[in-house]
Amino acid sequence: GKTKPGSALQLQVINFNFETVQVTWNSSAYAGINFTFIYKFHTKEEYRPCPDYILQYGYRAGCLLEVQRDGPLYFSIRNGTEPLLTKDLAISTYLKPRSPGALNFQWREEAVTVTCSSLGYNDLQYEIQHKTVFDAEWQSTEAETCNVTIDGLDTEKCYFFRARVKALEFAYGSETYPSDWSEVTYQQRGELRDSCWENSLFPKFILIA
Amino acid sequence: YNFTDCDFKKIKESYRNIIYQELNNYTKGTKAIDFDHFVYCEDQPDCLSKIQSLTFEGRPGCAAPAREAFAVRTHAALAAACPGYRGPQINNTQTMRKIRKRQIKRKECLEQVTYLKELWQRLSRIS
Repeated sequence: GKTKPGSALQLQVINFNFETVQVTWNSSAYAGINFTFIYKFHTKEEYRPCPDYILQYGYRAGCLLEVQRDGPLYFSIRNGTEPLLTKDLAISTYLKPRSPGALNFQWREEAVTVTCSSLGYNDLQYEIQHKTVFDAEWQSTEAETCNVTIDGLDTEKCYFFRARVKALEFAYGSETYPSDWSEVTYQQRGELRDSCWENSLFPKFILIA
Repeated sequence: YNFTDCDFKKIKESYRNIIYQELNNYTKGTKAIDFDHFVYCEDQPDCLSKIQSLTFEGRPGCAAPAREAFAVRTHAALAAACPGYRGPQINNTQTMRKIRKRQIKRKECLEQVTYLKELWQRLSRIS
């Protein structure tokens, strides 16, 4: 999520899978100033200094925080002792889930069920995309668990598969980020392939001249 | 009212299927990052207690969203899922007519309802 243009500091917050939270600020109006970022996770705690600043052109442009759980973040960005921005927010609002791990494939005639390990928290949408070398576009299939069945496949063909996770808006709001795509996995005749390019484009047959 | 004995699965369903859309209709375009604060709730009863307060009690600058569609739906959901819950009495027909006439949403009400959305989102994640 980004703050509205025009406010003193343009802020961006990204919560990487409830493991680290990155708060970055764009301070075109305050070029050459080294800001101080202080934070806490509970109203009763004392503010603490940022443990890990992100630098840009030698100046502090953000802070990276380790987090343990879904909860609040209270922070203030200061120029010396003067607070420029004081804010509290729910880190879940800016969630970017981790990319799905190793995908598993269970083939049954013309369908495949793709599974992967859960991320350990609720209200997510798992998206599996597939295509062949002849398809220009990926096709998507989605489900709320990482157990997605795709029908109507031709087991002789070689398929590309990839997956990503999105946070569902009713539980996280509209300012989250989809995960990065997983690595592409290749499957043909129910087996893992290194690639789909060779045997699809250059099938093995002998040219009799 | 102590919300400990409510059927939270049922409430989550009501929220997801009905209340969520009504809240979105009300806050269309408003984002959480537009506000410098938010309201956090620790567990399910705490969330419902704060949801009730923000939904049915007015605050400076925002008389009472209790007459809004999402509030009527919230009242119905709590009454259906929480034993003995009655909460504030809302006259449905009159409320719906008033809602349609209401045009301008004050910034304070948008802020209050944005906080409400975050409470519902939190309740959903932990239910």
